[in-house]
Amino acid sequence: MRTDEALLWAIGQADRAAFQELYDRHADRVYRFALSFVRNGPLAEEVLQETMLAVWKQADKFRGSSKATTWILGIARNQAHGLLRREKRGERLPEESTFEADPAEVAEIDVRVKQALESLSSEHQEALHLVFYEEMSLADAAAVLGIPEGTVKSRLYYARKALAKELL
Amino acid sequence: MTECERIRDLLPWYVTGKLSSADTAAVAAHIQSCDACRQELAEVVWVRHTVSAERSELPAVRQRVWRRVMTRAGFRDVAHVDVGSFLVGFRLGANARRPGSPVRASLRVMGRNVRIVGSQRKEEGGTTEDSA
Ligand SMILES: [Zn+2]
Repeated sequence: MRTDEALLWAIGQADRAAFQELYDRHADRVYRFALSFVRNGPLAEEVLQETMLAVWKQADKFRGSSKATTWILGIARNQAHGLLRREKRGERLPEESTFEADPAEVAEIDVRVKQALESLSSEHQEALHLVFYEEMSLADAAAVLGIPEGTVKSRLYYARKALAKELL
Repeated sequence: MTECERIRDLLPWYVTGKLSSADTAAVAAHIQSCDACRQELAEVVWVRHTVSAERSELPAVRQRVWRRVMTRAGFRDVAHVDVGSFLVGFRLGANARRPGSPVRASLRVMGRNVRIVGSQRKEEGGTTEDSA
């Protein structure tokens, strides 16, 4: 099996098979990360789509100084935040194909838990997701979020306290 | 920063097994003797469980978005072709069709130009599809 880094190099050479392999390997991860704070299936799919297009176009810019997963989720984060900003300003044009997300595909969590998670800021939600769902190290999570490690720690702390206050 | 605060900050990675062995040992030793931090640990374990409750795969999302990525990258007809087919995705320049002539133009692959000099680029299976 080719490593992610080898796949990215091949994608940089416009290798479509490599692109599909990388896509299959990371699509669920990108989608769930987006879903962790976009909280909306169709929006999360748009993030996945834009992220993968960016990976295709920018793979030759991947330098190998970070892990491929970190790099890809960093792109996803920028895409998601950009999308949310445009949506808030009412600038976002809806995708041509609109559809309802299959409810069976959206993480089935307790309604109360879902509401509690949604009440957190996106900064807190994404930190929780990367560390507890993706099980990223402190350094990797800080790299994806583009913030100092100390900030990751404090965000996790406040997110945890907020969840506990809501649910415990 | 107190020792308890330092330990408390490490708990998320203690729970997911991402600490160095030195830090792991430090946390383990501390929570043996500190009630407050044991309490914090229990809460971290609970949060982790809550956040990572669902881990199933999402094949339908994956396929649907893949088709859209292909379309957006410049493949108009890809939506009607099976995902994973190597038959789609290649648009050769006109001179590439002449039998025996080396491909000198660039090959447009999914919205991107790939320069080819001298020999034809082969994908797995070696199959290409021309577009007029
Ligand atoms: Zn303590």
